[in-house]
Amino acid sequence: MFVDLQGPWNWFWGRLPLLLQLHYNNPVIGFAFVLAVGGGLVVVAALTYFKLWGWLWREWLTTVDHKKIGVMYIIVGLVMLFRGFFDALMIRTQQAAAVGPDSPGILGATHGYLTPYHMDQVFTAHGTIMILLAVTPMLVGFMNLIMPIQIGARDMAYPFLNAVGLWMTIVAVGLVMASLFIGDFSHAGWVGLTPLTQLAHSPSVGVDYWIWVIQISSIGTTVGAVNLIATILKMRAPGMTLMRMPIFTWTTLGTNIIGLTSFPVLTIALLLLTLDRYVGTHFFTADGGGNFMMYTNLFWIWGHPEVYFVVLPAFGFLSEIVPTFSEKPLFNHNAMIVATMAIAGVSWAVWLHHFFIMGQGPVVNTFFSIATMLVGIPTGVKVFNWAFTMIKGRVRLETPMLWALGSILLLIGGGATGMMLAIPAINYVSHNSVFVVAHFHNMFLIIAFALFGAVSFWWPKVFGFHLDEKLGKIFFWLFWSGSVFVFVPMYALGFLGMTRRLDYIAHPGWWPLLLLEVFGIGLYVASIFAFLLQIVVSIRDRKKNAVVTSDAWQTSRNLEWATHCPPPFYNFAATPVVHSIDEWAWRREHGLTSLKPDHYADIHMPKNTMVPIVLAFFTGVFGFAAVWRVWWLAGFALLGVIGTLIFRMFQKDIDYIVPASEVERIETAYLEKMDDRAHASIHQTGEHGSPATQH
Amino acid sequence: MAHDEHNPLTHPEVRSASSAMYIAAFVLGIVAMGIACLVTVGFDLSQSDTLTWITVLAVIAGLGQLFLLFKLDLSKTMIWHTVSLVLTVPLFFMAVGLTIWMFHYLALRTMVGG
Ligand code: HEM
Ligand SMILES: [Cu+2]
Repeated sequence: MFVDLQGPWNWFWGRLPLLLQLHYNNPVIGFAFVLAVGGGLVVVAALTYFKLWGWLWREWLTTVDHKKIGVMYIIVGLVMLFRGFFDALMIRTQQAAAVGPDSPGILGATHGYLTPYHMDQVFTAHGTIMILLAVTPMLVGFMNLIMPIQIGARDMAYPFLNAVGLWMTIVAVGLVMASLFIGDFSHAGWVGLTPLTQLAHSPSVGVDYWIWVIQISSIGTTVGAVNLIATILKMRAPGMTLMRMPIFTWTTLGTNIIGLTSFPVLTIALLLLTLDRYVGTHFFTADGGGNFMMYTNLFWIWGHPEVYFVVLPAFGFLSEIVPTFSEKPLFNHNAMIVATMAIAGVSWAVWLHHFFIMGQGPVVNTFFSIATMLVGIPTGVKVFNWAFTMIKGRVRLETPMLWALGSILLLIGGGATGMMLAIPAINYVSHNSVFVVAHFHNMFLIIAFALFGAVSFWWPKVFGFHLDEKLGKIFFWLFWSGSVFVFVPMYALGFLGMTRRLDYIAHPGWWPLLLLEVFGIGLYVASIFAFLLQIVVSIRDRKKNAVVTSDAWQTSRNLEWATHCPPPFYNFAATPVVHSIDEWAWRREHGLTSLKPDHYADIHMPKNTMVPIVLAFFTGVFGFAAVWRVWWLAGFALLGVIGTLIFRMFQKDIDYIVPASEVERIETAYLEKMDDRAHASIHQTGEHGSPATQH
Repeated sequence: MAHDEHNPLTHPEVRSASSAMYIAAFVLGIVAMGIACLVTVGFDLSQSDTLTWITVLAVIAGLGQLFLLFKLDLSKTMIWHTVSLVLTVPLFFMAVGLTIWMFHYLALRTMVGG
């Protein structure tokens, strides 16, 4: 072929014979294998035992319902959050175990228990998974789940495309999990450090896995972005003008404009890298006319907008949670909208701050330094708006609000360190130190906190019962303490000069701080148990914690609270008419909270389809074949994708009508159930039973 | 959900398709790429002349795609696509312009990519 492959290749098996040379005697991978396969088998066995396969297929796997797709996105994200966390656990323990020349080594490692090659794969997988396969799916999940209800739509603009997006994400997840056991993963960092990613320096399949995982998940993100933007622009209920849109919907819009405009840059950068690795071109090589810094440049043209892609939805969650639990409208709704769009806009002009030290000199650096600091203005506006919302409000510290407050506090730390890094003189000494790592984890924790806030805030809407408050608070405090113990020492280590991505720490003086970080990660482990316990207990007590009105927190403000908990598959019995910003709060003030429409009408809904799963199957095969360079298989898989798409285009039977009488029957049953629950709840003193008078 | 047409062949985008134009776009793309290939491999031009040549050729090929293949215009069907494209133009110029700027200084000061 065009390039010199190290190791075997033949036309039928591609590079798969490499597997015969790899060793599977590492107990760490063995443990992961047992965990993943064992867990998978338990799920399969349970589904078979309870005869749930049919249900799973009909209700979930083939669904195009935006709510179920949203829930699946979030579950996939949570599972990957767990996987990414395991990687983090290994990084932290390895670094604490490999301090100083006398530290012992096991399992083939000179120090600690991970060889440098494994350690590098672990942190690469950690970063890639956390950003693209954990946080992003969870955020997209919430956008899917909540946004259409917030604007009074029945589903997304393109329900089929929505399912395709989900399934592309699942394929990427499948590939990244496969790389754990079949072959290896990239060792070149989540950013793909060039020229390390070139075939000559990374001859194995790891970088190829990394490339195809990102490419396939980007397809999902991109079609999702198209869909969410189209939904917001075209599917709003009557009266829902742009300026009346809830802030979360606005942040969804901003986020997806960023996504749609920036992801293609990543796609192209990786495509050129793919050509380098597969065809032998010299786009990013260090010799032969290549320019490896151009890769870094392209990566961050996507990369910085991407960090705002993940933070804007989190700001959206905060803007929904804070007013609800301050029992007051959000301070200055319009400023919030402007700030959101300003952040989205500026996010495109700052990317060079990720390589200030490249050598382009003071003139260029000054421009990007100032541009970076400008982001602080709209972000500051947001923080002040949340603070002013709480001032003179009746602040209730229920779990969602705790998460939101934690998130806002973290924003101050992360923003301040971001400002420091934005000063080139500081950046020259702190670049590639763990200070940077602490900074961006600080920023990502804002997102994690906001996400857990969103989980507890919208859980009762989606499932019809509250999560257990007590365990929720324990979860919060454990997670908060874990964050403090891991990242405060990390900032300190950064100041002390510890560089990032180390598998061995030469400086014994850093050991105490590294041990503190291990203590912190232990608290995180405990917090995971609290979270799991919280979910189990809440499901057990679901009758006791059932929601009795559509407005689970009694002081919520937007349209998603103007339908049942859980919402019926068509979302609203009759399309709502919007009168004001914070429509639900407006209706509450005007005594218009009845969920019974004047009359029922037919509802037009999309039909389930298995086409997205079929597409995912072929895409998965393609990805795997491309990684292992089994060209004939990749070709057939691609034909399969194209054929399936053509088949779908000519499918005519893709929607159906729910007759008005059927809607009426479903609605009446809902309303009766709610009445019963309300009567029952009068006789018990629930924790949520004492709302203050609402505004 | 938002669809009025069940038959894909009646979609306005599909109706505006034309094989002649597709083939023209394809031929134009191939020819432009072929010339670009010749220019880079065959001609012995200075770096800046080569860059000018292939930039002009890329613009021609791009315009061919936009008008012949995607049929961008201001009609009711196409205006969404056209406006979306126009909205990305500032980003395009910013990304490319700032990149040229930073690599220009980089080249003055270092040997990266040289
Ligand atoms: C919005 C949420 C943010 C996220 C998710 C985020 C994330 C990140 C990430 C992932 C990196 C570097 C990763 C790497 O090198 O592998 C980074 C570096 C950096 N961030 Fe942030 N960031 C955020 C906000 C900010 C803000 C508000 C500022 C400044 C006002 C800022 C300034 C910087 C700078 C200057 C660097 C480069 C440091 C260096 O490499 O030397 N960031 N951030
Ligand atoms: Cu950045």
